[in-house]
Amino acid sequence: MNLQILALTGPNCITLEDGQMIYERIFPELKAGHSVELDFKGVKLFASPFFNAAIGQLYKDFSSDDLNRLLDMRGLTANGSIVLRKVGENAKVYYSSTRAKDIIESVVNGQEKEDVR
Amino acid sequence: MITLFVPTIRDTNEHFYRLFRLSAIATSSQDLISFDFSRCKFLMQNGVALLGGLAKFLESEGRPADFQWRTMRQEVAASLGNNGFLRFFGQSARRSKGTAAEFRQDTLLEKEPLVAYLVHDWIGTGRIKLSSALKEAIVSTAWEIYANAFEHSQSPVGVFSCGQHYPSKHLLELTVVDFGCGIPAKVRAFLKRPDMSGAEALQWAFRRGTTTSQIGIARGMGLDLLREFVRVNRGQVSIFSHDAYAIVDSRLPRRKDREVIYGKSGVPFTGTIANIVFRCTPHYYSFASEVSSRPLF
Repeated sequence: MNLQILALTGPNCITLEDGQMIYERIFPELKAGHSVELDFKGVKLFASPFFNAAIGQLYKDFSSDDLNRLLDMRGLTANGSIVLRKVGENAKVYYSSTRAKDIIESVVNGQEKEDVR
Repeated sequence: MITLFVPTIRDTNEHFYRLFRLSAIATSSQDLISFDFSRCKFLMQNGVALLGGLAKFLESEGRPADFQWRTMRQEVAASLGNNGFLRFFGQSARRSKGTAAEFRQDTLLEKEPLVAYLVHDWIGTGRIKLSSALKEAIVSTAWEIYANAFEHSQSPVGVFSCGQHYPSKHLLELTVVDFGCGIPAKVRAFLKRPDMSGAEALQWAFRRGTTTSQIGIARGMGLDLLREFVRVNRGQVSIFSHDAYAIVDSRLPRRKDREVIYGKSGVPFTGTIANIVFRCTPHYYSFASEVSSRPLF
């Protein structure tokens, strides 16, 4: 899959809504193991709400290795690369702690059921 | 009707407190408010944004403000003409293409109009020589402030802003203010810690990854990105919300534990006001040099 982001969002990739739109397009492809190329040529502005939704959410289901293998980001400006990296660092921490919390809760819930029996 | 004197307002802490005193008196009164400008020698963009927002807030409460235009000094009137404040409040005044970005009210976070304002009015096409990289970084950082205000403030009258270019100082300033619930109140409610101080709440809000948003997406980058860019740009940002403030000032001696100064505000303000100062000389920007060659993910 190749997406020309400028045609989808215009020159400003800054809103959560636009990011969510991109995420919903690329997630099924990545889940199926297909490569995705996002071409940001012509996009001038990047902000964290966009990347949080478009890319940050992917860390829920994919590892960094998966994303480096499957997802190709082209045409990012210097500022865009910096914002993307910071969003990614934050997302890794968030989703790994969310997963840990889910595991703990399932263990606790499982233990509670045992106690009830 | 009670008369309140608008003081001279610059972007120092003490002058922010003057604004907050004015706001507190106006919002706590039940009377109609009339603003007298006879004691005002200068009104920087922070004063314009807050005063204009305050007037609209009072109007939303059924108490439209009165401005005693004739009490204004000529230079103050000229300045308020240039930034569109006079026209916004119904006075016929021509706006000249100077160094001011217009006073504006946004009730919705609309991407295109706001970006156009930041790029063409605030930075101004051709007025300031900035590299594309620096311009993009400044505008996207300013956007993070608006996005935060719209997402979190629950302001009944939206968000107000005003900007100014100070060419002799090579500074570009922007004030964004809302009359919403304030950062400390939101953080306390989210963390269920009513005992938390305002300064602690701001410190929590500035931390990367922390957010009161509960939509299940990793968030909480806006203030951290702002702090980081101000550091790189050697600019400054002051945020006052409720009884607390957070100041990022690159002119202060750099210490890891003092990159941001948090404190108790001398005078509380019910909403949130952010004043950002960017340096617009080319060498005050090294973001590009920070681009890494590591894998992106």
